[in-house]
Amino acid sequence: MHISEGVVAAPVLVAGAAGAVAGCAIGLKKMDLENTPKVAVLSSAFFVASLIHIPVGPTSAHLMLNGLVGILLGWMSFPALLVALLLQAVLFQFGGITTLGVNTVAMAVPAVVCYLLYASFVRSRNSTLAAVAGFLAGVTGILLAGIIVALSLIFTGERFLNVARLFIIVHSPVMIVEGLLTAFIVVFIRKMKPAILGSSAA
Amino acid sequence: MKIIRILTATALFCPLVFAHRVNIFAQVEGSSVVGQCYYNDGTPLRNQKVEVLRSSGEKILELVTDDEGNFKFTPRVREDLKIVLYAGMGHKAEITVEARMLPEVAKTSKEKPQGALKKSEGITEEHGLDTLQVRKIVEDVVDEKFNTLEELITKQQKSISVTTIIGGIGYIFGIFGLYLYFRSKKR
Repeated sequence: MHISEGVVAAPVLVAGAAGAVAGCAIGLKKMDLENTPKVAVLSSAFFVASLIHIPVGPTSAHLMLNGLVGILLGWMSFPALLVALLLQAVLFQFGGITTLGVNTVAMAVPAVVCYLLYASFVRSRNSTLAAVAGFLAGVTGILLAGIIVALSLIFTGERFLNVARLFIIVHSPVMIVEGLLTAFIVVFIRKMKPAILGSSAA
Repeated sequence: MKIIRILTATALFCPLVFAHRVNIFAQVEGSSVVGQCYYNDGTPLRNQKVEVLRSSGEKILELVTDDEGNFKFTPRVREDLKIVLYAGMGHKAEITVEARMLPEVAKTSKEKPQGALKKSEGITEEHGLDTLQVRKIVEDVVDEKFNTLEELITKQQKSISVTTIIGGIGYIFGIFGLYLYFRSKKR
């Protein structure tokens, strides 16, 4: 799910970097002192989640948690994911330094979209509704990330529909696992520490 | 709670292994180059495109990995060969096989080694084992041993250790800690 070094064309890299910088600027503006520790915790959760891997037929896919990061952090997902992706690139050679921008956009844009779509439901009084919203956030996060990756690969000759279809087939089990996990975490946070949801009025 | 039960059930079926980078490994065996493609948890990459490039960047071969993620080809040139694996969805890995690793015989395009061997066999009848033959046997055995060792080292270098993971988490907290520090000083 991380785009490796030297795969995508230069204009895509530049556009990705610009998008990542813009997103981080917005995110950092929203990130006040109280929110920073939360951003750090979710950043490291994302960092580790990519190592939890689910074998799917001939390939393998990993958890992403960008939906969860999104509903909890909103725009602050950008700095959180940028830092995590940077360390994944440096320490594990997942992705790369030049593709950092594209990868950040591919993960953080879906996170922000999840925030806009589901955050209010996650915070609603009805816990069933909140759990369903959490599940959908987990699924949407991966789905949108796949679509963005497929789009960024268009210029390298891989056909968009092929990549997108392959991606969805490979990732559908992960989407379900991630949806359940996100729903579970949402329910858990609502019970144990609802303040985490409350203070992120980003 | 039902959700917890479902979650533990799912967790049991998903072994926690490290992923998601693709690796390529290649070594010279006799007159051909054999290689393996696998995810960093060891799962082989089946039916993936592998390209062989000359040092000039010119593509000379295009292969597809088999069911065990292996590929094999006989080089027709003796120069640094770049082998690139394209695993789709933005995954790519490459390895360079140096010219000195490639067999001498690969320099000529036709199957010369057989002829050379026959010639030395002829000499053997008169002198017992000739030096060329002994040399070849020793080289083969040493190659075999070294290749296994090399493969092991490469695999180990590319796997992810727990120390690195914990270190990474530490870095993340450090970075955000520094951010907090400077932000709070401003106030």
